[in-house]
Amino acid sequence: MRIAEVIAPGQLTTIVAARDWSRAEYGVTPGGPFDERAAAIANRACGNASTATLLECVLVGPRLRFETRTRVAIFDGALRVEDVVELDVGRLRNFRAWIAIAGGIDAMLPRYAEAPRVLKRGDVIPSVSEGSGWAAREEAATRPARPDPSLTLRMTVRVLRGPHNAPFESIDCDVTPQLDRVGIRLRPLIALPPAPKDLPSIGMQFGSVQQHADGSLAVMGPDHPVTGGYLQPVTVLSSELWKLAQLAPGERVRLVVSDYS
Amino acid sequence: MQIAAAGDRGLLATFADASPSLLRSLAAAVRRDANVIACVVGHESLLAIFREAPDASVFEREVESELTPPVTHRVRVTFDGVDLDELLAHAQLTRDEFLTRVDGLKLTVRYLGFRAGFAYLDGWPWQLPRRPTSRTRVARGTFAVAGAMAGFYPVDSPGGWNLLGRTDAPLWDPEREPPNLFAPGDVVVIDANR
Repeated sequence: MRIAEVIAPGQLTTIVAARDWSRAEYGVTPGGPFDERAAAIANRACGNASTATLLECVLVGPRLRFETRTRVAIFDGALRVEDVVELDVGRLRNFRAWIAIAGGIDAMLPRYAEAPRVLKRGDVIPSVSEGSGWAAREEAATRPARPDPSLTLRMTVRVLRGPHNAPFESIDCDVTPQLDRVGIRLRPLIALPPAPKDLPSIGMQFGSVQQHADGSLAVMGPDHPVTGGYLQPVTVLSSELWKLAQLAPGERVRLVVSDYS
Repeated sequence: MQIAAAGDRGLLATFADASPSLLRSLAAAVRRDANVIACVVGHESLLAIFREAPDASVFEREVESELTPPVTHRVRVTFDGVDLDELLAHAQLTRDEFLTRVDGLKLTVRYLGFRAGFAYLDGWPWQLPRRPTSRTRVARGTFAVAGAMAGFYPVDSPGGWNLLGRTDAPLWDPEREPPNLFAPGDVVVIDANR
C-alpha cells in the first residue's frame, strides 16, 4: 500500500532501517540510524516500535504528500507530532533529524543493500507490509542511558583507548566537508605521530576511529566498511555515538580519552 | 591470543597463527553466544560486538569445524585488464608465461570488507604495490591485485588496486541468501580464460 509521495526530497533524505549486525558476517555494513535514540524517540511518538524503519534527513527535510491524514513525528532536537496530509519539514534545527510515519514504512531495498535508499522526487513510499523490504532480525541492542540529544550539544566526544594505542589524551579537530553515513573525516589541529603502515585489517564498528596516512582521523558512521587496515587509536563510547550524527563541516570537535561509563 | 578493548561494546581478539577457516569457524561459534551481536573476521583477528558487558571468554569456545566448511570456487578470469602489462613487466613474465602460471592458482579468502561482498584473497605471488591514486570507477567483476592480496570488485566502485582481468561469476547479489559468493577460509582457484 502506498503511504506518501515525495514532492521534494530535501537536502539528503534516506530511508533507514534498524541496525542489523547479522549482515556483517557477509561483509555488509550493519547500517541503521545515525542516532538510534533520536530515531526511537520519533518512532515511539507516533506509536511505532522504536526500531521501525524511518526517514533520516540532513539540514533540510522533505516535502511529502500522504494518501490519507497520517501521524508523523519529527525529531530534530525538539519533537513535533502532527497529523498531516501534506508535510513540509523545511530547514532543520540540527544537522540531522528523523521523521517517523505512523505504521512504519518500507526500506525500499533488499535485505543486503549496503547503503540506505536516498529519497528522490516522485518516489512513492510504501507501507511496511509491501515492497521489497525486510524486517530486521536483530532488535537493536539494549542501550545504556545516555544524555538527551537536545539543543545543548557540546562538541566534546568521549572515546575509549584502543583497540590500538592512542597517542593522545585529548585532541581538537576540525570537521571537514568529507562526511556522510560511511564516515566523518576530522583534521586534528596538532600533528599526530605517524601511524604504522600496512596493519593487518581488523573489524570495525560505528564509532571506530581510524588514523590515516595523511594525519587525518576518520570516525566511522553507521554505514562503515566491516573491516579496515588503518590504525584505530580510539573508539567512541556507545553513549556518545549520537553526537556524531550532529557533527557538521566547519565545526570543531574535541575527542577526549575517557573511562568506561 | 591477545585481547584489546574496541569501545565499550567490543573486543578485538588477535590470533598470531590462526588459519582463515579456523577464524571463520570460531566466529560462527562466538556468534552463538546470547551476549554477542556480531563477530567480524579480520586478517588475523575477530571483532566481537556485545549486547551487554564485553566478555573475553567467548573466544575460548570449542570450535565445531563442521559448522561452516570452506568451499572451493573455480572462477573463470579473462586477463585483459588495463594494468596487466605493468604487472608482466614488474614480474618479468611474458603474457603466455603468466597465463600458464596463473591458471590453477589457489587463493585463500582471509576476510571481507571495503564494500559489501568484497573478499580479500591471500597468496598472490607477483606483488605490485597499490596504485598511487584511486580510479573513480572500477567495473563490477574486475579482478585486481595490491601487494600479496587479490580481489574481485563485487559492485562498480572506486578502486586503487591494479586491474588485471574480469569474471562473470555471481560475486554478489543483495537479494540472495547469503548475498556473497566468498566467505573467509574459502579457496578461489583461478581458471584462466586463454
